[in-house]
Amino acid sequence: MQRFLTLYSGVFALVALTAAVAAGLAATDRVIMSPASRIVAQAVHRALAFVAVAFLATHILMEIMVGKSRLIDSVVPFLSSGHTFYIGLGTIASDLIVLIVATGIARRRFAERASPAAWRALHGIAYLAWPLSIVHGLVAGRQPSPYVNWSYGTCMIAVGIALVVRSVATVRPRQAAARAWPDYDGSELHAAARAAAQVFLERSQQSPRSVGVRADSLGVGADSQTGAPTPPGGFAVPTPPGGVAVPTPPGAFVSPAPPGGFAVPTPAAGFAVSTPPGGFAVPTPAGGFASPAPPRGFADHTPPEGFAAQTPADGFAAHAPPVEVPPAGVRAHAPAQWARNQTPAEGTAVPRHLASVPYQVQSLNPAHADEDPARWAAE
Amino acid sequence: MMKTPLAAELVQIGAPRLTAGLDNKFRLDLADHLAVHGPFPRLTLNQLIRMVEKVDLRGRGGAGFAVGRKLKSVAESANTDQSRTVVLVNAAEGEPASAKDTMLLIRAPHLVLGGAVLAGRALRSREIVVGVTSGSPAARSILAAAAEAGMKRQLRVVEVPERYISGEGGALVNAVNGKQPLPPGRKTWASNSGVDGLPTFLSNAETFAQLAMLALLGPDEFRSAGTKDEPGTVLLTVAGSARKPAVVETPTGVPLGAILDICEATIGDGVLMGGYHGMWLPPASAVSAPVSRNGMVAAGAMLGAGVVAPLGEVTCPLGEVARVASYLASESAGQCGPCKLGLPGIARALKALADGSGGMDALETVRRSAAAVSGRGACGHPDGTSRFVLSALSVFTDDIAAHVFHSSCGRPVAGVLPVDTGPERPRLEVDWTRCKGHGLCAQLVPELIHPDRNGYPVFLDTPVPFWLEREALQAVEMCPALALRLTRPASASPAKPTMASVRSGRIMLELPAGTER
Repeated sequence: MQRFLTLYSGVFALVALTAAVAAGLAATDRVIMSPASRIVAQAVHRALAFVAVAFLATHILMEIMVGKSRLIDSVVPFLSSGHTFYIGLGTIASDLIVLIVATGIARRRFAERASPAAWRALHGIAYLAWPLSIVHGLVAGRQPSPYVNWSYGTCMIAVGIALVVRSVATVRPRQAAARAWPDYDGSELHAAARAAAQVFLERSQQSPRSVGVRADSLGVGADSQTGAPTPPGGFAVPTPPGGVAVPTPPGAFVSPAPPGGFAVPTPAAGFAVSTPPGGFAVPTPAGGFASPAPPRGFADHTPPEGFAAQTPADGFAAHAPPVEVPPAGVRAHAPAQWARNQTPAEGTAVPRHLASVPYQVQSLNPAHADEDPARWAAE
Repeated sequence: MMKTPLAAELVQIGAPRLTAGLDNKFRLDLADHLAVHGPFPRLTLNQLIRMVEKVDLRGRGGAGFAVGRKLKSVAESANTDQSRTVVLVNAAEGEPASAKDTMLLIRAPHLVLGGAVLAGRALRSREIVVGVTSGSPAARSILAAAAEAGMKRQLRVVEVPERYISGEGGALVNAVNGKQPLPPGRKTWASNSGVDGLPTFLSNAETFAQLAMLALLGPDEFRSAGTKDEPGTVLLTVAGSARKPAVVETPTGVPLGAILDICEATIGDGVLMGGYHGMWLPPASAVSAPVSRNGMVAAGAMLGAGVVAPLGEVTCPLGEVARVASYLASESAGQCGPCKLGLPGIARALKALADGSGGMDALETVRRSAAAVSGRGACGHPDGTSRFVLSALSVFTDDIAAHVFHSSCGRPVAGVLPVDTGPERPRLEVDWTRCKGHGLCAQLVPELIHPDRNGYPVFLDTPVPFWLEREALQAVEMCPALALRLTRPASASPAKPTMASVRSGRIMLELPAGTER
């Protein structure tokens, strides 16, 4: 066994090293290899590198054990006068390989702190160490068969060509992406959605100020607060009574001050207007909370017609400020529209009539608290 | 880390029940509790079931399961197996916006304890187990309460990691049994086989407090507040845009608008009801929808665990939804394929929709992916997320239109919906100057990274979940351009227990020194 290792561990180390170099080089390719196979190539590269290091260590150990080298010769080259130049090359190569493997292991730290160029420079020493070790392997030991010489020669030429190709031919990410990845999330654009978008955009170009105006974005959100009708999905157009599923005229988008916003075409359905909900919440003053509030009760007594113009009876919608219409041609989604809303005027934020519900707010540090709340505070 | 019920106010609407006495005491110890509520009656199982069924008491954890049926089912299993039972109080509020259970345990622990003891006596239970999130002061409070009542030996507190799915019943049972606190692969019923395989009466902490209230008041008095169908009070946690975030005790039937008014909340584009597995109410119906399970369902939402999160006007609704969807995706336990790959897909498409890069395609993708994950996991996490997202799509139509056709609604994402990722977790970051779009990272961590049309990575805006750390590290190692890195926040504190510390076994809490009597 020892004899076998003495004879062959060096050979195996060299073969594994060659394969590791080839795999490492292959892993950088993005012309032929997909990301998935590049991941495999990287894994193989690492595995082979560790195999090579293991055999290298065995090789050095065996050489020392059979007395061909001293310990110091495994680290410092050209020390022993009795040893040839080519064994010194092997020592240099093994030192460099240890360094290269170390950079491979510490790769993550280079990504986090040092520059990638430093890592590439250090790891690229492989292209020096590997030829040195081949020369060492072919010349320092037993006389190899001619085919062995030929094989290593071919490997070195192949790697050389690959290196030249790598430095010359680069693939831009876009090309790689076009080949490797489908479009957004793999989903094709829904045909109906595309058609709907097309129609919408065409119409929006026809009218100067057409889309994107949220009525409640222009005023304070008072109408949404007070329960003024904002039919979800309804066009805020003075629609005829019960006017739902109307094929919308282009003019529908030009209505200057709709209280209800504009509708979104549900992609699948194109422009079919969804039916507005049966009623809008006219908030009943919540006097008796103990009385069972029938869940549908609020919706039932709503007049069916004219939902867009409906105002709640008790008149608190009155404090909705006048709607400003942006100048023609200005897309109304400008942030300024929203910025105005960031400080809603005192008193408009919540419907005050609801405050008639009896309640009490307990502050957390009541004056007569017997206990220190901090004792129960989260650590 | 807003999960401090102490930072929120307590609002009582009408005559307080669960929160009675908390207006002039921070915490009711045993003497205070007896002064406010009086002693508990002793009830047999049949008496208890009859009472519960008379008022149709439902679980308050979100599912609204009938407590009477659960009691019967546990009793039947115990009869069949000739075994003891266990009472398991679920106070592991995984919901970042919810604080009611923690509030109850800290401020009125004897009600929760009393309810658990009532159930435990009726079911002849072996012990009472309380599940809380790790590090919560609730653990100390309930243990102190048990010590005050002289029943420290029968009570065990189990801490579970602060994660969204920790509150799932099956996950909690697993945690109590010393396993990973993750939902079990196959649906098991705690009432058949829960803690140590014994029939287990598992319910939410508020349910036990309601049970205690029912026993104290009697069914007739209990029915004197609230609606006819769902008598009594409910605890809500009002968060979101509320200027006075609060835990609210209210009789059922009060219009939601009144509660939002009291908490000085602006409804804005909608109100999220029931938490992150809940649904959105459009402003028009939010004002008048009565607070009750049926009322919320009729208005198109759900009461769930009582979370009320109005959005307000200054934040971008779609951005908020995308943020929460990313949070929910990263809170997946990573056990079931449709969830661990599907939810990031939804979150990514929502983010693309919100930042304007996705357009109609992204809208379609959200809609389809959300529909596709529903019902395809060990627990309700994919279903709940799907419900949340689809409801947002149907309520925020105006906002979606603005994003599709104008790239943005012009409002910033203010983050009014809290996303609590618990202990700080590492994040993947890229050095854009180095990235050459090789695409290896997207191949290695498809859950978090996706290539854009040009091949460059799009990141999901979440920390790396614990079950993806290996893959994330590999992506960092393998990045050909050395552009990717895993950053650990500087404030990473190893103090908070992680998954591993629970895996090693049960965590028993000892009373802090000085609280024993």
